[in-house]
Amino acid sequence: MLADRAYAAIAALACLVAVSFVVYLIWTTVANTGEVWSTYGVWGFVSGTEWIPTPATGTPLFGALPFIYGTLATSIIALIIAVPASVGIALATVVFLPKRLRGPVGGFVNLLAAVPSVIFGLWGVTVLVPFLKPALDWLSSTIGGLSLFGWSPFAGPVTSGSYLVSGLVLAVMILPIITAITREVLLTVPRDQSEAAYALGATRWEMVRHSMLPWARSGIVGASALGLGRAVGETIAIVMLLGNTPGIFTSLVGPGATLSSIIALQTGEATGLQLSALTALAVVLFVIAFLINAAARLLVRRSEAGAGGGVVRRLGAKVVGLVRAPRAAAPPPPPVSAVPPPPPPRPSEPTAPLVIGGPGAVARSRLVRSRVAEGFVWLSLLFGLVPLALVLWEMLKRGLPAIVPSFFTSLPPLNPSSPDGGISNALVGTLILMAIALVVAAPLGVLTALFIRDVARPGTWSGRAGSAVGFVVDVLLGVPSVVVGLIVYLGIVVVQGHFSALAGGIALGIIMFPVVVRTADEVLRLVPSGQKEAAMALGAPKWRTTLAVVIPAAGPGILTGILLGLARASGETAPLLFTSLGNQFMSTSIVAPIAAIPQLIYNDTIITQTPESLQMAWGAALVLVAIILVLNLGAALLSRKSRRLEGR
Amino acid sequence: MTDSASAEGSAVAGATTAAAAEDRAATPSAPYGVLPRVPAAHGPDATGPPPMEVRALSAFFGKHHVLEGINLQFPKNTVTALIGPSGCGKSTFIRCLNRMHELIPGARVEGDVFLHDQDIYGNDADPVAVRRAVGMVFQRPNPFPTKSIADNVLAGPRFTRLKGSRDDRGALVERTLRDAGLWDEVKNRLDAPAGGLSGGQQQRLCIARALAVEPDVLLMDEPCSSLDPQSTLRIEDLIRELRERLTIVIVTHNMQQAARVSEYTAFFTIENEGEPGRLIETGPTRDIFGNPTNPRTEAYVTGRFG
Repeated sequence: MLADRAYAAIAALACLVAVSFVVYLIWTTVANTGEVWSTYGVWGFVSGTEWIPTPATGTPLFGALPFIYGTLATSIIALIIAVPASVGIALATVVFLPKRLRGPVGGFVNLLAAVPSVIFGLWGVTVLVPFLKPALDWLSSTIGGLSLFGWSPFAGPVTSGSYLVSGLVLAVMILPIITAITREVLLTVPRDQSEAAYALGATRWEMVRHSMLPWARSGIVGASALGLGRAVGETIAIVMLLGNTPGIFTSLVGPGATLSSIIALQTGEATGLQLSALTALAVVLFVIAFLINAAARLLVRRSEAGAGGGVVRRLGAKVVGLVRAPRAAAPPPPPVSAVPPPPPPRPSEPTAPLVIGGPGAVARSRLVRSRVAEGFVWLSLLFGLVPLALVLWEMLKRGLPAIVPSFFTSLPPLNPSSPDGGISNALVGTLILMAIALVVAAPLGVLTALFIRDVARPGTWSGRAGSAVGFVVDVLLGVPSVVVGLIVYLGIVVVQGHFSALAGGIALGIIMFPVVVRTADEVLRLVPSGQKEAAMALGAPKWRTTLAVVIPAAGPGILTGILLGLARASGETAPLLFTSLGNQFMSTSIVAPIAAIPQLIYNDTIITQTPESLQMAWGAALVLVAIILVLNLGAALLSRKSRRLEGR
Repeated sequence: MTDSASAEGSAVAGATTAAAAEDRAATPSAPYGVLPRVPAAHGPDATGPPPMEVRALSAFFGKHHVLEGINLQFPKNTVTALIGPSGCGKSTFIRCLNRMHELIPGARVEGDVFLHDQDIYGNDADPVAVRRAVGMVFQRPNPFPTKSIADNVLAGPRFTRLKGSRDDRGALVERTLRDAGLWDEVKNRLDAPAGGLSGGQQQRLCIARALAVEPDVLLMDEPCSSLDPQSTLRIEDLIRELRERLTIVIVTHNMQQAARVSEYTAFFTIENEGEPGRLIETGPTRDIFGNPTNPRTEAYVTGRFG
């Protein structure tokens, strides 16, 4: 009995530690924004169009609008490209591809999700920007004069960083998540729905159009919103590709800046009002991402749960304005009379001979329409596969030559034009940062999940606390990583007075924590209650039941969550910029600044930018992707194992 | 055509090679495969040539052989019931008649199905056009739940790019819903989503939806198995009315139902475990139930096995 209390107390304590730490960080963050609100007022800051931290004369000015515009503009461009492409890819892997190819192609697209943002930045800078330059030049010279209400979206000059290029790369980055969720929703479409359309003589495309898409509609909207949530928080690729020049309704082939990019670039050196203004930008970014994610989750959940079509789903679609107003498809009901009106005359039997084959059996216009639609599906599949193939190809082509034994054992050269040197400090740094993140997030995450699912009893205070913690975890899941970096900077680095590996590890841990909790929670939910009851009926106390039955059953699933969390954290760059800072030299101290692979790639690409440093960046990219793939592969194998256990 | 096939059929009874199907003159017919010319008690065209004829049909799921050597005709404006124990391939058979079987990955068909003398498995036959001419109603009602009742009826005609005024569409909706016996129940809510109807109403809506494309043959795969008795009787009434205009093939587990609605009955079964399903006996329904020639049929219809 005492031991049971102790178990409950430990789990509750873990929750308390995690939540109060988050609350502490949020409090320091919010407290830091006070100066901005008192100087400009909320509306004044949000609608301010100037951002001049160090003016030649006069007082500095801080306004958020150019960055809000930049965030929305890049994200919307990304969404416009990514949503049709994702739906096309999902349809290809559910309907159009031969059955043998569906799984592998889906998995290949999922690989895109494992490529960290900084590598897309590297690819964008070195490959895509030079490649697109002539096309954008041509675009600007032909329709540069176009003006919409005074806005010239394609006016020159074409710069290397631009909204269009950023939007395109963002689109490739959010493609996997939108595709994966759309695919899952499409797979919930029951077979009798598709057969209903086929049996009426629908072509494959007509079946998709009339059976699958209406059924999956709100799920697709939700998936797109989740993608949008990702896009608005994306940082490091934008820093590398947007040109970092704030503007509102400037040319789409010219530079811009987003909330996340300005935070990433200026936080490390800001003080006073500027730091306060950057913090306020982070709050704005958080609010935008939170609203989008909340709406998205609602839609996805609704569409997956209510797959029966029911009223709830339609309401969901109505909320986002997708249900067309009903049309009058039939004449008004006949007037009521004692004698029923005669039935309308039946048209005479068709005299044309029955045709079931040969040219003209199916109207040409239908075939053309279906071909065009299928052509679009293949095009979008191409759009999903080509960038991935190009990124992987480029990485192998440029990265492999860099991989020699000394690459892992030596430090980066002090002279950036030297072809020698390696990434030993960054490799060690990344491993140390991951270890700290693991220590921070794994025990707290698992205990928190145990509290939510195993300790908390619905209807009591613990149940309410459990759902509150669950909500905090869901919110954390949607916090852009650069915001995590900023709040750790304010709550730890500023307080301690120095950058440190510890601060960086904690930032990664905060990113990892919600992934661990959510995955562990999912598998704990799946432990059959019969097994628990069997142990309890043998007289085992609750803590022994948990230790002997629940943990072993859920173990592989929990480990999967930890590996997935690590994989996600290990590719992050933005939260490290002003927490662990980076280090030219080898350091293994957790209280000193430390190097990391993603950050090394970023520095080599953007700051050093010599052919030799780019070579090193590609080599480091290869190593980073290898680490992430190993983690993901481990997670996939474990989850297969745990699924097999479930089946038994 | 049918009479000669009958004569030849007895000579080469039981031959089931797919190659034989290529030469129509030499097409074999199983002894049970050809229905006797019984003038039906209804319909002006009951003695016309059969709109659909199945020859040497075999069906597979991957390597699994589920149906072998089926020969069968469906006379015009009649109802043919397919009966037999679970797993004997009735549903697979009916899905071969409008090329739905092949939609399942790995599924395959051998043999021929002639629709008005055209082979629906011929080289230039288009499954899309076949399915338009051979309608189907499924075991579970499957209306498009988010579409309105009227749009469900119009779904098929829209595929074929029905051009016509709003009035024409309205007339088509009313006519087919009346034919399906659903009009009076839904005429005031044609714009309501079909998901809100009861199970029986949904199934009649599915029938209306199938009728709206004006098929020649209507296939019904246990259309009443998920319905209550009241709805079942309504659908049976409907089937009796529809045969005035259509040729109907219905799979049923319910032998009373087969006796109530059909003129002809075909009995399928699996003779030994692991073998494909075969057609055992076919004939006028009253003979199959009253005076079956095959002892297996008798055992099944009298409830001694299956």
